Amino acid sequence: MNRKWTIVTLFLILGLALAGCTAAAPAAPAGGAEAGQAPAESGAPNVLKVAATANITTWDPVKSFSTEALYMANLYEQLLRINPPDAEERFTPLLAESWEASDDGLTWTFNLRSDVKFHDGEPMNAEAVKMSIEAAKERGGASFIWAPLDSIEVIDDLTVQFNLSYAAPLDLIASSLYGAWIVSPKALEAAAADENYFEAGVEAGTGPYMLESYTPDQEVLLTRFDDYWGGWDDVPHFDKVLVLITPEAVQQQQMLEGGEVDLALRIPQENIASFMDKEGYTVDIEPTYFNYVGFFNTLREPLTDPKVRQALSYAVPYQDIVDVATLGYGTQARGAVPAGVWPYSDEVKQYTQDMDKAKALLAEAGYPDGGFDLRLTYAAENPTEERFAPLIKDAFSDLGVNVDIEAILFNQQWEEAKADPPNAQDIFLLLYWPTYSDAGTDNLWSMFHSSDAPFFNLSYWSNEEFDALIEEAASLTVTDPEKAQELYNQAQNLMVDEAPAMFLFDTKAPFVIPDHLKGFKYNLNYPFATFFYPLYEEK
Amino acid sequence: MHRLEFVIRRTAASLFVLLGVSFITFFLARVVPSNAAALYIGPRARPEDIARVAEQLGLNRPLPVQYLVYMRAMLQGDWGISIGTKRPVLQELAQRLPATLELIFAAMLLAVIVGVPLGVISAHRQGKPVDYFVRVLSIVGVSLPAFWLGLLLQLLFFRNLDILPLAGRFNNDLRFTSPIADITGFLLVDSAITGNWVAFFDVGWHLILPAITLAAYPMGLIARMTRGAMLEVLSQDYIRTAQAYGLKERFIVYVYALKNALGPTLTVIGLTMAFALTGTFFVEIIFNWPGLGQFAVRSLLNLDYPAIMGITLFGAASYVLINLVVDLLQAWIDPRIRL
Amino acid sequence: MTTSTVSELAETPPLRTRYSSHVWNVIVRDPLALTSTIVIVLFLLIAVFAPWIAPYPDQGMGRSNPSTITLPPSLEHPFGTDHLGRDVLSRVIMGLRPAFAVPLMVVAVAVLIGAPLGALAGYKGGKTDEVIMRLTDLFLAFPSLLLAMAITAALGRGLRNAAIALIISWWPWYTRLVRGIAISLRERYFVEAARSIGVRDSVIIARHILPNSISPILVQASVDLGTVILAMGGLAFIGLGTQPPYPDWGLMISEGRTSILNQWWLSTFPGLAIFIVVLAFNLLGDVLRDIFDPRQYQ
Repeated sequence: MNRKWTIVTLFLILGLALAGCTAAAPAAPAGGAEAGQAPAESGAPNVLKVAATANITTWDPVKSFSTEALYMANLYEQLLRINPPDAEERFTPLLAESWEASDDGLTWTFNLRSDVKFHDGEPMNAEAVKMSIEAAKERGGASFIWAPLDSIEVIDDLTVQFNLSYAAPLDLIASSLYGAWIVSPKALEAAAADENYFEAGVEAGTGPYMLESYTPDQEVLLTRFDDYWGGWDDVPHFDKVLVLITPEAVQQQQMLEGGEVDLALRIPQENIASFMDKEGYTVDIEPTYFNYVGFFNTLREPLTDPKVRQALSYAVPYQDIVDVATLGYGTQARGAVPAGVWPYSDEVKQYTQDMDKAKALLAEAGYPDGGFDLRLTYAAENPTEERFAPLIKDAFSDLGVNVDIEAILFNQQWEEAKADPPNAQDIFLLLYWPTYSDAGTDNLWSMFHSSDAPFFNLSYWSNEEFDALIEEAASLTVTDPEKAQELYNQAQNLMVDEAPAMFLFDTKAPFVIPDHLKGFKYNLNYPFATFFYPLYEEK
Repeated sequence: MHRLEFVIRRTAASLFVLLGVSFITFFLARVVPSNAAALYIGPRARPEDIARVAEQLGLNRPLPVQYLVYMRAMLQGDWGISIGTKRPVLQELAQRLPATLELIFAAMLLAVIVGVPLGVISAHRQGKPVDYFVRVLSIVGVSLPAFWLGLLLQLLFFRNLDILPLAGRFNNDLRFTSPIADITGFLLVDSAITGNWVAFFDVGWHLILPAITLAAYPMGLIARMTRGAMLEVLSQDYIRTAQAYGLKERFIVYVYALKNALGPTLTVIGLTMAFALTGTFFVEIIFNWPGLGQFAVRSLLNLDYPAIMGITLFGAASYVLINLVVDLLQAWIDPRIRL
Repeated sequence: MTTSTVSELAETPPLRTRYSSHVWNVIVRDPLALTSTIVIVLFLLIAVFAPWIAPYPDQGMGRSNPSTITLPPSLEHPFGTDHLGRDVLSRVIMGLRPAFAVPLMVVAVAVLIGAPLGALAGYKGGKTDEVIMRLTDLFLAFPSLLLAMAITAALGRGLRNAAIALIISWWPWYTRLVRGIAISLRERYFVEAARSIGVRDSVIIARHILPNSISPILVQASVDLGTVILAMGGLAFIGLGTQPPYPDWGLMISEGRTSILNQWWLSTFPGLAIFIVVLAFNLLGDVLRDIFDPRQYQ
């Protein structure tokens, strides 16, 4: 295709979008204030304005595995959605009305909602589900979540059956924020032919909103999908959602206070307190399933010695890190499972800072005054890590251990860790979150189960007992959750003792909600997503 | 045909330089950073995907071949796909250019309006307190780090006085109250020609602080160069003759001499404009200005190498082009100049 | 800035050494030059004795102190404290060392690479000249800071790579400067005399051409020092230069930027430090240029 023409077309589309008259009145005079308001008879459209940091790394719902989840979650839907931990029901049915698993956890049958249409007019049916999930398994950014899946069978137009090769909580997997969107078959075919099919800003979901326009790094404009199966009449939902991509938290705050936006998804943490006694705002501090881990490279001297790793784990100033990195909006982690996510448990042990113990352990290991160097890398893109990494350096220096901190791109850190483990960094700081709400098969398995070629297990730790415990626990998750929990606890305590990593902290997300905005409900299982559909304005 | 020969030689030299520049940018981007294919896919990539993308992007071919492929694509307007936005680099640059140019033009206009008169006055009153003041002021201008001045202005005019906006190109409410038509991408122009005065003033309001921040450096330079050029002209024979003929001093300084001092001033204006491009890197971050600078910095930080190549090449090309234009203009004005 | 000043100087005939004796007199007589010199010397002294002057030298080097996070300026902490509880004054003082040392080194290495090449090009002329100058043209075709940023990004973030990138972007300016001087010296009687008695080219360049280029190089270097300090700060500001927790003024401005509206002191003081140092170098350079620019000297 002629590139020049593409550019010209895009400019035209963009121009029209900017003038606010794409869909409704393409021929409307440019610049007219009334043009943008043409569709709504009662005057201005009901627009929700949001400031967010989320950029788009891809518009491909199959590949999506990053911050664009904010938009995906409003354009697309999964079969079902997992509720926050305090909800009565564990799941909300979305495209599936009901589902059931066989006793052995190997066969899952989903009954689909009828009369659901994709934004491109195609019907949502069993065939679409099969195609979407197969695409996700084959080329998805989060394809690994479908590892247990053996085959998908279309039973009838609205019934689809998943056959697994081993028992796995498919309800959790199917509610994943990544790699579980149901996409129009027509778009999937087009994307199979042209890898960049979605990138121009194409979407084909069933969600409440459609993508009207977007300008990279600037804004995303969503507009309501009139035929949304959930309907539009219960509350005065917003007709359009304008997301202004604003990387600066300070500026988001200013936009919120100036009334330029109704919702700012990132306010500087140091300024949250100032909203607590301000009229007109409610501050909502929510748990997240983000978790910070510092891998020790267990292949490198002297970190091969568990005593050294324990000593360092005792030297970490956990409380200071929480205070500095999150300004108190965080909690010290218990092992590698974030609070509120399966299989978190209070019974997992924690280290507390104890320099005497740390020194004693180092002496036992043969390093009475430290005297070794460690190289710590963190992702340069992550300002939180930049904040707390120096605290680790300072604490370790009190043991006589010198830490060189290096900020490199996540990708470079990732490559270095995998290219040549025995010569890789000594400490790898990682912000981790489970792809779907099962930290047993994700966090514990991905980060600490042994493997031949390291993927996320970047301490290169290998412990047969641990492996056996979590393998058994994972296989019991569906059929005997209590037993699974017990095994997971055993495994985690073993892991904390062996200290293949520093278990640093779980973060919390503070939200400042203006009082006129109703219906805001945070869901810790979807930390990158804010669902715009339930929101409305009180008149 | 001396002049024509000059034009041809000068243009040929510029083309040669551009060729070399393309080689340097290619070398920088392709050889040095880490695995380009891995960067392209993003975090959590699997080895097989990296291999596939490396094949797709032609990263397995010998470097000279890659360079030729790259050059051919460049000439056809294919500057690669940005890793960050997954859109064609050329399209990204084109879309962001108007915002940056609007900022640069506003800043340069400010710099010229303030800088040239300061330089003239300073030369006219050489050695007087005014001269002294202007000299210090112009040096202050070139010594102020843009990445600090911008913050100070925000502190003063937004936080303390609360009279100017903190950042952004316009108030977002405009989108719904009086949207700006996208005609040229220059929002001041677009809002003016559609008679959208609410937007016009809002955009102008948002432009003030970033423009001042960006203008400080060229302003200092222009004032200094104008002063120097004026002093030289004023010391020349024909000016003395004019004085001897009893022409009014004001007329001599402000019309006669200034006209002749414009050449060097023009050079400075041209060159600082090219420098202003790097200035926008700082200004656009501080003022959240959706232009090339912001894109450049993010690309540099994320090793978005197709974008980095595009920006460096664009920067160098515009610099070379401005140099060429300035040289040709100079030759036009003053035929004594030779290559 | 460098463009025009360098080309301007390149066209001027070499300086006779007797001008140098005037330097001190002029500096003493010109209040601005005197003040600048005093400021530079003072800052240099502070840099040398930084660990003894800074109230909290270990915090200055990056040691955190979680009990004093983001305190506004007070008697105890005249410049306040930052997000890791570090005393900003100490960080500004400790930051003086890299702020002076690195640009000095960058300019020195750029001169060491650029000047001999320029002397060679100007003295030999012909093919040698052509090759060297075409090469420098390539580098001069980029706005220097843009080139430096691209190189740093490619080499990897950090102070060392930023310094290398700045050297790569700066050496051609000195090649061009010295070449102009060498061309004008080539025809001078003492050079011709040396050549006619069979003195080797390398010796002529080392004995006659380079020594005669020293004064203009110094003038140029003093102005460039200011520019390189700014460039270094700029690189650190966008995140390519010095990495935390080390003290660097540009980095400190960047660290304070996101909370500028609440903690104004974080960016303000390090910025003031850059401004004062750069201003001092530029004022001094301006005065030096007036002395050494023969057009104004006559």
